[in-house]
Amino acid sequence: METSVQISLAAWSLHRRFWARELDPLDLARKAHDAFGLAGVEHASRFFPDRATDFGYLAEMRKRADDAGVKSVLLKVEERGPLAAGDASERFTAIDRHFPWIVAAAFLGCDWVSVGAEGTGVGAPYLDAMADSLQRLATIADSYGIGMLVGNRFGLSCDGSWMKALIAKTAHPRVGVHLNADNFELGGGKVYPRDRGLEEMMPLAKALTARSYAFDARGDEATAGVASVAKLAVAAGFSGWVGVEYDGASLPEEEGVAKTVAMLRRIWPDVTSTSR
Amino acid sequence: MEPTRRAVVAGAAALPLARFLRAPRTSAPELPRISLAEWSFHRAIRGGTLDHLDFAKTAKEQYGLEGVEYVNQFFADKATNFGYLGEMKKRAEGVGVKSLLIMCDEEGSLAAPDIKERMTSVEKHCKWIAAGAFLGCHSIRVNAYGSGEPDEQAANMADSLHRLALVADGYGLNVIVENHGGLSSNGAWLAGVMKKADHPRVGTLPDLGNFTDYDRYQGVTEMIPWAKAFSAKSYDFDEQGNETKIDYFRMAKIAVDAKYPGWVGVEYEGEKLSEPDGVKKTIELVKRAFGKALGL
Repeated sequence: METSVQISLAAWSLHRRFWARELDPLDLARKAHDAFGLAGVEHASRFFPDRATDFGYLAEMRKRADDAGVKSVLLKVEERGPLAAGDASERFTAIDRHFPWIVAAAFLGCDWVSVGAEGTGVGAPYLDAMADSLQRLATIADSYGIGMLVGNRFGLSCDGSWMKALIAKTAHPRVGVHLNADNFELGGGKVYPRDRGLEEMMPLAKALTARSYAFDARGDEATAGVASVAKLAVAAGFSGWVGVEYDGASLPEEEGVAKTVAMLRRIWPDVTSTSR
Repeated sequence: MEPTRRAVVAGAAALPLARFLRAPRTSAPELPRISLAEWSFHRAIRGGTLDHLDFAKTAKEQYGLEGVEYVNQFFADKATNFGYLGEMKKRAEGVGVKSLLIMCDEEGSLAAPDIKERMTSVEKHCKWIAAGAFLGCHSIRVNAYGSGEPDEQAANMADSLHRLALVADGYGLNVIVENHGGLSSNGAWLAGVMKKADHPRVGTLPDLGNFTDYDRYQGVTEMIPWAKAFSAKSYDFDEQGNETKIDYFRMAKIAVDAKYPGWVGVEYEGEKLSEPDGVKKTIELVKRAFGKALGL
């Protein structure tokens, strides 16, 4: 049975393999294809943090992905400074430190680069600062022919209504949300309602990452509600790539990824048919 | 036989001396390497008779030069196009020509008083840093343009330069400022900016021509300690082949006295000669002037 969903492998799924140096970051794409039959990958800067400016390295990464017939869908940038910092100088430094990753994403053939909305400010200044940073980054990304996404990672960015306001204020056609279906921690022990967050952000989502932890006997994801995420995505007309991000501890990473992929392939046509 | 302590000490002492005595032979003065600045062919490129992609080949085949200095105006919309940049790189490497730097214009005011405007300019320059790194260049050249009081502009320019240097350092590149009109053609002001920017990746590109009412020899002398490139600008020549406005012999001596280690870029900008003839005369003059300064 053919499915309509395009599934990619998020690098984080194999973080234990990377940390243990059992898997070379250059081989993420090959692994996605050979082990899981996937045609897309989501890169993460943390696994090759000092290579953004190394065109030789990036060319090799690109070549291996091309050889495996795998598309680099997006590059997730982390730990490059607070884009919503209250201090302008600090914020502009963060923008500059994100720059090489935009170039790297474009060089790898990604459609998107994904950033966080970390900051030190609060309230309206926080939103204004992040919107300005996002607008600037989107302008740079646009010049490289790629789009700029902001991920719901932590804090205000996990508040769906705040994210809607941010995207509206940024007002750039190539800005969107990199929606992680399981990140709704607002900080201070508070959690934004997941279903509400998903409903609010799904229409803005250009890329979707489905996180998984554990599976029941039937093979359904048991804790992160992947099935309901799929339903919401289809209902919202989401047509992008769905990244698999296995983050559980009970299974070997490969097994967790394989189960998540199998589940997505199994349920996606179902939700498509029931939504018609 | 066990060597005596005295012999060991004498032997050790003799080593640095021997190295010192050999030094003049191994580092005999040589003419600086000469590169070609693309501006020399602005008429040909704008007129469509020379393709920017063939510039490196022209430098090598017509003039025997092995380094080029690009002008971003001639591939203004290609900074983010790795396919095009890849072709540039391939062609330059194919003829054994090194891409040295990109002269960047029209990317905003790095010394603007408004921080947002200044940062936009920084961001616009970043793509040229990445392009320069991809091509194998050592530097991008920027302009120190802005408005406001000289001290204020110097502080703002230094801030922009420091930010660009942090990005450029990640790529192994330098960011250098040319005397290119306005305050930037004031050597003392530019030297002050260099001190304020305070980053080893920040430097100057002295251009022998671009001084208006500022003494050009003083200006180049003030800029040369930070120079990472050097533009041998020329406009016109007398019957002996000397530049009519610029004493090349004096300029070469300034560079040699400062032990300037880099390439000398030929940049003919005159109207009277054809661009190829202007370039040839400038190359000859650079060789004569530096030859004399070096005692060759």
